[in-house]
Amino acid sequence: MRWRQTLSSSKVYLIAGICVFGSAMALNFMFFDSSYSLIQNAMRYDAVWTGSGGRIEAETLKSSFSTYLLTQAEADKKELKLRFAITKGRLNSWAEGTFGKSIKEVQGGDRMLADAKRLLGSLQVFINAPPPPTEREAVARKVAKAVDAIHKLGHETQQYSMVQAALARDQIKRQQNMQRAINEGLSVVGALLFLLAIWQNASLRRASNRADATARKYERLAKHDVVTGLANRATVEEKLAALSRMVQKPRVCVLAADLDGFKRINDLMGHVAGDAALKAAAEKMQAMVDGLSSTRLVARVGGDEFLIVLEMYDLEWSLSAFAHQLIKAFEEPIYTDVGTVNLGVSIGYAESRCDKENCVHLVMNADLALTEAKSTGKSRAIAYKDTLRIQMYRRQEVESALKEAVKNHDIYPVFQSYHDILTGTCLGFEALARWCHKELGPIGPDEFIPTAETTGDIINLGALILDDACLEAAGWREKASVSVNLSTVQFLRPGLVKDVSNALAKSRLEPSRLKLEVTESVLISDKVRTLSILQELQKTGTRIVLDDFGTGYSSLSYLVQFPWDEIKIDRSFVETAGTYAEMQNVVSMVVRIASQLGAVVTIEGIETEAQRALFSGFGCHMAQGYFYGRPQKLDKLPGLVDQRATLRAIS
Amino acid sequence: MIWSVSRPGSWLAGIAFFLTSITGNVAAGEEVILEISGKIKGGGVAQFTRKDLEAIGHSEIKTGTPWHDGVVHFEGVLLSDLIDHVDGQGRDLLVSALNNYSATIPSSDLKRHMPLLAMKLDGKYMKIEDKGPLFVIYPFDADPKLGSELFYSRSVWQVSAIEVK
Repeated sequence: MRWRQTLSSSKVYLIAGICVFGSAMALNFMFFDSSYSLIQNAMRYDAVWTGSGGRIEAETLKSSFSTYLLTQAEADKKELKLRFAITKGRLNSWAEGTFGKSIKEVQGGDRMLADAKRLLGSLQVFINAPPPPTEREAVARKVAKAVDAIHKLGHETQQYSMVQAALARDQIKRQQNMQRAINEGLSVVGALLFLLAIWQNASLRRASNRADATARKYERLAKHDVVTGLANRATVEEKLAALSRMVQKPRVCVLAADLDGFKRINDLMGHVAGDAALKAAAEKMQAMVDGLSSTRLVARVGGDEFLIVLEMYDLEWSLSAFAHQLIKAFEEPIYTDVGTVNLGVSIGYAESRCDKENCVHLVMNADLALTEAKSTGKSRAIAYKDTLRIQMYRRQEVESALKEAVKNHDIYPVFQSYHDILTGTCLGFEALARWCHKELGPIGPDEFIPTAETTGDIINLGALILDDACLEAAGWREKASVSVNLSTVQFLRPGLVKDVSNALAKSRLEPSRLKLEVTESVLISDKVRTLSILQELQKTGTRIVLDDFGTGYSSLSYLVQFPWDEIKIDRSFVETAGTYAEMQNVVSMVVRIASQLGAVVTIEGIETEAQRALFSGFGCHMAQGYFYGRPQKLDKLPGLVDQRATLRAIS
Repeated sequence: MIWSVSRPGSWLAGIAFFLTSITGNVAAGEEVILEISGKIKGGGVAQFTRKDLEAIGHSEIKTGTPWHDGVVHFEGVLLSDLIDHVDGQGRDLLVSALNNYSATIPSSDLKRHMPLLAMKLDGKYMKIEDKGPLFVIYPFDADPKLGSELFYSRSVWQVSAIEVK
């Protein structure tokens, strides 16, 4: 990253700056110490001072000498002795200390000092014994000579010391100038370091801001859906967990919505259109929700699944009404970037019922209601009920018990007879799967068959029922046929044809006595493949039956797409046939078409003689229903087959 | 110690007396070598022989000076002890020497720097030729502050009189 590079280069500057600063400081101290010793050196003033003191004393001695030579008085002699001693002391002191050092440095200084001492010493004799007047002039000249020597020595040394002091001052001045330059440099470096620190501080702040921004961006990515910009599941869970922690909770409503028709758009128009549709749907939902006076959160949690979380303080507000408004809003076409699309929405909703309730499971409740809404039709809104949860648990229990039941042969067929609608002769039996669980009790096929279809257990279960039915039918004395239902899922997996031929081979049942019943739904998913399997099955000699005709799509086109051996009209026609004339026409028409195609027609759900007579009149060939008897277990069958005569008598 | 009756400041009398002493008429250590005048006990002039001074106290300083080679050893009496002895109550001391040199020493120096009125150098009494008989010495080596002209100029040698002002 760029800021890291800038930081590291600024670190180099900082370290360099500190080094320069440190060296300059060290240099400064060095000059300071050197200046101190220079100042000490410049103290040769003392030489000047001592020098002039000596010269004055010498003059005093000279004058004392003159007086004494003139007067020869005792007092003057004493005075002279004192001055002599003082001058002698002075010359002694000139040999030592700083002055002594200076004299040694002066050219010829030692010799001059020795001369002065010798000349002074030679005067001693005249003090002790005063000279006769004739020699006084000569003595005075001697005194003058000695004093002159002292003057000369003092003067030379004084001058030398002054020169030395001047040199030292010059050097101090030069060093002071250098120190000044160093101090200026120090100030500049200090200022630069300060600026660098400010700059680094600023760049650290910028880096920190950038890092914050990146963190915010990733936080947003982690909490939001990229396509729609809505929140994601993690955010919803976080939100609900937060709401659960609240002591004074609002009314929390959760809606789970699933787009109807989204898969079609995605498949037909591609992902770009799919994303555009999702975006438009998201905006629509957001707009609807934005109209509410509540805190709200809209999230996309899956392909076309959305969650809406509302915190509602208005207790009068109707969640159900809002769900229906949402469905209504989706009834209008949606305008997307890539064109207009039609999308419906299915909704499951749930809401918290008390303050202490944990809100997190509201999502599961709404999802349960959504599943229910989708399984019962499109564009529906269903509220969560506890029964949904009970159903779910039941489904889970059934699901977990199913595999074991298939393995243990706990699921077995019962048989319901079907008859010639005119004569009442029993023509055969439809094998219907039954399951009685030790703990769960009887479980209907409408419950466990869909479950087996989702789990895949239907493959083994189907084969099991097929085997059982074929074995059973093979044992009958009468050559009655047996019907077995096939599931759509069995057609999706390979091996169905093999399963059928295995069952026939094991039971040695004539293939013509086996009827395989399929609903029109098997033709919906992969028609070409299904039709080829049906043809293969028909080729083995078994008969193929179109079951439950008249439910679902109920397209007449299914009748002509395959050479059905038999068509079974759904029981719902029996229930409404007496009421609607149109329905009677439809049944008659189906019978006519079937007859033309060479298929027989069976009516299911006949319960009364009147119904039998009615559908007999429409032209149906066979009938099935409680009118002829309930489905029976294996042990009751042989009798039923034999009782054909009796049944005929009833009709 | 001889308490003179002469007026303070009349040091010529002292000199005359001193001149007598160096002629040898008086035994060694018996002649007057110092006169203290000014604001002292009794207000007159106090005269001291070497023995008098030695009786007041004994102190020593080992130090380098600008006037000697290497470290030298001084013995004598502390100026502060001496002034206390005469009950001197002045702000300054005017210290005069035989060679007509004089210097002013602030009384505050006495306790702060403890200058010595030295009589002996390296164990021997100082003669006039050796800056004697009395020499004001500060402990230069003990305090770098003392290594300046200010204190060098206060280091009077051949001291003969002190006036408490």
